[in-house]
Amino acid sequence: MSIRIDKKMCTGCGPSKQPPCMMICPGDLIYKDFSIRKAVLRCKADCWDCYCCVKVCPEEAIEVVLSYEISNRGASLKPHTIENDTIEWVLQDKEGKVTSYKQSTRYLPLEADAADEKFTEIGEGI
Amino acid sequence: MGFFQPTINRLDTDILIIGGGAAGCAAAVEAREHNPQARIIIMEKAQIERSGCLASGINAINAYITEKQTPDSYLEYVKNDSHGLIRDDLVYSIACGVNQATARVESWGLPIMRRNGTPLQKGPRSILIKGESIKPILASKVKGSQITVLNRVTATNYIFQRGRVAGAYGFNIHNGQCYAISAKGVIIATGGASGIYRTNNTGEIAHRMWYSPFNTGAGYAMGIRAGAEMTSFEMRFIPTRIKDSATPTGVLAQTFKMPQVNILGEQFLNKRYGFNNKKRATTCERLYCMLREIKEGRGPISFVLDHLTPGQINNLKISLLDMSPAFLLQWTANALDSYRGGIEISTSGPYIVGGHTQSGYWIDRERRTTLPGLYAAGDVAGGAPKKYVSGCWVEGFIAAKTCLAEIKSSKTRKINEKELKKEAERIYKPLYLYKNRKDGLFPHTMEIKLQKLMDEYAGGISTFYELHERRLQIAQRQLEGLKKDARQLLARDFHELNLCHEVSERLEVAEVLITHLLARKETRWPGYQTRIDYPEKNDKHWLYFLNSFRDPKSGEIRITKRNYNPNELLKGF
Repeated sequence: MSIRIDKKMCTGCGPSKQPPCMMICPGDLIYKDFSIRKAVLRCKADCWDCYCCVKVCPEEAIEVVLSYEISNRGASLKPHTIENDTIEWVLQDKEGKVTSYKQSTRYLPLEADAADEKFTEIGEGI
Repeated sequence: MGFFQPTINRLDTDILIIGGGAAGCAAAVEAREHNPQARIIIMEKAQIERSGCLASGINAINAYITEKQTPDSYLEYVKNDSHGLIRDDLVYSIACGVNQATARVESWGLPIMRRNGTPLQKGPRSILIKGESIKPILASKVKGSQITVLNRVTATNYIFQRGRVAGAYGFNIHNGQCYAISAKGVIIATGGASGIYRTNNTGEIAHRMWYSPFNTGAGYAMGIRAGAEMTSFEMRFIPTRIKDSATPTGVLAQTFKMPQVNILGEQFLNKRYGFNNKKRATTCERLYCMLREIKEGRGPISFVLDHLTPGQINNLKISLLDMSPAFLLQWTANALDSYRGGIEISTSGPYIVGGHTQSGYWIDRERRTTLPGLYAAGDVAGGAPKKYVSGCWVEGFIAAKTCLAEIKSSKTRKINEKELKKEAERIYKPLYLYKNRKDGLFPHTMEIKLQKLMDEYAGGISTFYELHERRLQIAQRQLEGLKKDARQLLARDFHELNLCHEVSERLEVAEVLITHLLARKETRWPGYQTRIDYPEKNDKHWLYFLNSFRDPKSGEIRITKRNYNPNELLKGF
């Protein structure tokens, strides 16, 4: 297991011949199945869990699901809000506790102890 | 070819850059800045926004001259860590350029962590960055510089004209179109090679690795086929990485100063092997000692988290988002915070790279390879260990300058149609064989067999990476069989056609690798290259570079020595 593309949430990005997930994958592992108009992963074993497709999906239809072989079930990590210079990640553990992390990604003059890199506990199970 | 007539795109350019990663993008931008009129094409197998090793981002620049360092101290460190054998000139030229290169990429948008204006240090020669978007930032600079980027176009062979590299052939892995690109100068920047060996992660988790599983040695293979001289393939890179995630341990070890302990709770590097602050273990020695601990039954080896504050653990998690978000997910799923056993360390690879170690094209100070018209930069170029991302940028800049200067008066020539037809037949053969129901093998099957034989006989994890002549000879013999069978690879679509070429590339790399591993009859880099039949380092007989090239007549890989003379190398600096 690697990524999972939610068939209900995936729109195939309309008439697009090359949706963003297909365009971005460094391993060329996603293609569009025009018969069902959805993005499809070619081979789970080849996925690198790099999160590139997850970040570009406009419907948030893709999730990284690590293989049970190396990772217990019940946790999730999603890049929930992606803006030009930040990503807000939402991490949920098995007990349902949710933590959010705000990640700076672009041209920002950061100081080492900047207040925006804070530990924010949102609450139990959203 | 009967059923399939690919569209052939014949392009003409001044500079062709193969590979749009750190080195390739740097080379392209440098070429543009020196010559606003030059025609520049990047051939990239994936999409430059997220291709290569930096797909998820990176959280540090690991080759940097920090406040207390100088290029000389940097050179001394790299030489010591590489057990005395490096290309001093290449390493020194990198050391002289990394800070400037980093500042340049910072001006393109890369956020560097600072405290009172000074870059925040991660380690003695490393600084921290917010590098999640390092590839989009590089790609953006490339796209804003009127450089033609051919995404999803993989290179398959060099074009030769009058003894010079004059371009490359390739194909589009989405639509199958063929490319024949004539160029006055070519820069190869395709990175290193992974997936040569089977690791402890197999089946569904086979691509749980540190290096990009999609870097398969295209540049190496093309050069090997063309008779380019390669160096130091025997200095394999076997990093210690967090078990099952293959995430780097650097931030844990350096920033948080977490010691490695065995199952008895011993800091074994000190307790059993005598290393301390005065006598530090080199990178490969740390690996070697860890392997011995495991071999002798005192594994697993872990980093202990006990002394970290919640704030520090939080900072650690944030830095993971910049490079390996999947590991943060794994950490959370496995509740590593509360697990008193610590974070288990294992190994990844072996990889053949010119970034952390020095396997790759033999180049001169200006990054010329031994093939006229061809320049190399980044992980595909050899001789300079501990290059890291900033070193790749420096090499990209140098290669571009050299290439530009040397192609001033060149002309491109017309494509040789006979050779193009021959290459097209070679490129599309797996599709043709499948369509005509020929007997053969799918690339995945070939890949598994290659990785198994390398693991079992050429020093993979199942033998603690140890090497012995007898086993290597078995590997060599088995590999010959695979090379013959590779003529019968089958592909059902263009994606699988690319997989066929990727596995063929790995076979070429493996052949050269085994030859090098057999040839160095000493243990120069314990851990990376442990010869149990020649367990000592032997400077008297082996302090020189082991290079190789394919003999154009016999097709054999021939070993050649290059003397090591550091004073000569550093002349002119």
